[in-house]
Parts: sequence; C-alpha cells; structure tokens
Amino acid sequence: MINRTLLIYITALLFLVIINISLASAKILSVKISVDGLACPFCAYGVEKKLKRVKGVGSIDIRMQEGTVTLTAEQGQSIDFAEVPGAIKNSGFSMRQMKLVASGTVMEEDGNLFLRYEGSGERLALKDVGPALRDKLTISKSVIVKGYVIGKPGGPWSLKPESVEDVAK
Amino acid sequence: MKRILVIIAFLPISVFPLPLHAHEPIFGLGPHTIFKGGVGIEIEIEGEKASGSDEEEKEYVLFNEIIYGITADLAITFTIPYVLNRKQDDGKGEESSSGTGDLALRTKYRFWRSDRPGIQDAAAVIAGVKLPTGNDDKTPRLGSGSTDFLLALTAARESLKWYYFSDIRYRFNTEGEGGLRKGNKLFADLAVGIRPWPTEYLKPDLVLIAELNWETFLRDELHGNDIRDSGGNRLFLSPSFFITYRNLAVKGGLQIPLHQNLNGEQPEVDYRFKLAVELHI
Repeated sequence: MINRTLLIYITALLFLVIINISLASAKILSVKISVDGLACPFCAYGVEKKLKRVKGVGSIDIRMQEGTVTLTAEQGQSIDFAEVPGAIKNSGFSMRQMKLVASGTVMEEDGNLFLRYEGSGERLALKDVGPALRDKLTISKSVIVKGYVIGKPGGPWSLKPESVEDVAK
Repeated sequence: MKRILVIIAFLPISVFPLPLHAHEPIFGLGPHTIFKGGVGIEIEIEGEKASGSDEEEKEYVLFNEIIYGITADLAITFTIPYVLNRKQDDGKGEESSSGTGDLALRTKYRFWRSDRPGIQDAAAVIAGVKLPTGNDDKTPRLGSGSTDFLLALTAARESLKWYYFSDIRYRFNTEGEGGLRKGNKLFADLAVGIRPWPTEYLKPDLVLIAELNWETFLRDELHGNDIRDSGGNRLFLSPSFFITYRNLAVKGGLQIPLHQNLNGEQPEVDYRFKLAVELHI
C-alpha cells in the first residue's frame, strides 16, 4: 500500500517536473531581421554564413527583394538572438530591426512585465505593451509573443509585443 | 636596343594584377570586401593582343587569387600569376615564354558605408605591392623586375537594379634590374551596371556592366633616360558581366580601345579580355 502511494507521488512529481520544464523552457522560435544594404545575392552569402553560426539557428530564408532574413530555430532549440546584430555587422551589412517569435511564461516584477525563457531564470522585458495585449498577458501563463526587439547590441534587450497567443492554441 | 625597346614596350598586363571581386567592374575597381573571416578563391584568365609598328604581341596569364576578410571592411588579397604564354614577334622572329609572374599583395579598406533598404553606398582605399618574382631573364620577360606600388580610391552604389562604380588609381613603379623603370600609371574608371531580372537568394543572378577605362602612363626610363617609344594614354569601352549563384561567381569582359595616343612607335592594344571564376567559403 505504501509502495503504491509512493509510486503515485513519484509519478505526480515527475508529471509536475515535466509540465514545469515545458512551461519554463520558453524559446525564441524565429527571428525576422530587416537588413539594409542587401543588394546582391552573392554578397548575401556572407549573411547566411554568419547567421548559420548563431546558436539555435536551424534554417535561414533570405529575401533579397524584401531585404529580410528569417531564422527558424532548430528542432527543440532556442535562437540566441543577441548574437544576430554582431553576425550582421560581420557580414558587412546593417541591421535595421529585428522581430521575433518567442514562447515563454509571463512574469511581473515591480509592475513590469517579463517573458521568462530558457527555464534558467533568463527573461526578456516586455515594453510598450498596449492595453489590449496587456489583458492577454496573464501572469504565470504560457504564451507565444510576436514583437519587435528593442535595444542596442550588447543589450539589455526588450520586446515590444505585437501579438500574444496562448501556447495551448 | 631595338630588341630591348620591343621587350619594354610590351607592358604585360600582369605587371599589377587587379583584384576582381564579384559584383564589381571587371576592369575597374569597386569598394567591395568580403565578410569577416571569409575566404575567396579566384581563378582568372586574362589576355591581351597588341599590334602595330611591325610588331605583334599576345599574352595569356592565369591569376590565382586568395582573398581574406580580416573584418567586414578590411580585406587582403594575395595573387600568384602564371604566364601561360607571352609571345612577341618584332618582324625578325617570334619568341615566347611562360612561367610564374610577379606576386602581388593588396589590402582594401572600406572606410565608408551607407546602407539603406536594397541599396549600399560605399567607398574604399586600396594599397598594394607587387614583388619582382617573375623571371626577367626570359624573353619576353615574365615580370617587370621591379617592386611596384598601387594606391587607389573607389566609390560605388549598388542597388537591386542598378550599379554605379568609379575609381582612380595610381601605380608607382620603381627601377628594376637593368636600370629599367617603367613609367608610372594613372587610371580612372567609370562603370554602370544593370540587373535585367530581379532575383532572389539561391537563384542565378545576372548583371551586365558597361565600363569606361582610361589609362595614362609616363615614359619608361632606362638608366634615368626617357625611352622615346613609351608612354601615352588609352581609353577603352568594356562590356562585361557577372553571373552568380550563392557563393559562386563567373564573370568576364572585353576591353575594346576607343582611343590610343602613344608616344613614338608602339604597338596598339587590339583587345583585352578577362574571364574569372570566384568562390567564397
């Protein structure tokens, strides 16, 4: 009987741990970069080469006519978007803006909102959140946020959300 | 003396090879560099035919170039030319030679860049040195026999549709073996290019370019004395192209003389051509 209770407890604990990991392991799922100066496909090879080295990047889609580069995370990985500005600089172009899709848990501290990601306590501040989106950002809720990255190379970075979706969706 | 003059008069095109970066003019220069840590490997063949004054000269040179990006704005290029065939006929007989030419080292610094959506404006300085490694005992000689220097300034606008390039460069030649000093050279180039069909990354890309290349060169000197049959100026019209796919480029062009004003009796250039393959890794 005791063994059975213990087994239930262990199972429940494992379940909670798994749930917790899935909630906490928020990720940068994709990054869309507007690159200025991108005029020739041959030169864009340097962009591909440099961005491929960014941690977590699985695939790269370069659009010459749009002047954009979209990075998609490798399966189960999170893109280290902080490496992106340096990579663009080293490829010989200029980054105008960076937009990303991130999943994570909403936190609040001193009235400021954050998206906790990577399950390591690392977090991304959510700035300039409009009232409509503010209502969707329920504390401790797991969400997918799309928005513009605010900040300069070297950080700190923050995210201006454009849309918020529940992870369950 | 006539023989020496004939040898001198045939200024090998390999005397100071120019870096040929993809998406730059074929005969002129541009401010393009390579990404930081990037390596470019290029194989290029250049040819020239000149005739007149009872002489005919032909030259085919294979250039092997390695480009390295120290930063995104600073690149170095090392060139090893191999003269496939240098042939001259002064009316008394034909002579030809082949072998390694003069090695050259260049550096390019892009000191200004302005990026906008689909447009990049840039300017760069180029400095280079050419070493007298070519065998100048052969006839025709394979190198200039002197250490020569190059300084250039270039600016360009590159966009999704149009390209505009300009440059000015000066080549300072020192005295080589045998007391010969080639005349210094001043070049100026203008180029306009068009991409007829808009393209995307990982699609073939074609750009067509029209170049105007002007060059003026001072008289050569032998033991401090001017050589009569040397120096002058030339203007060329050069249709050229480049086709690229991802990190591979094929490019080429033909230089057609529009005007040649040469001192004394010198063979005039009939044409020059370049064809190159470049790979970035």
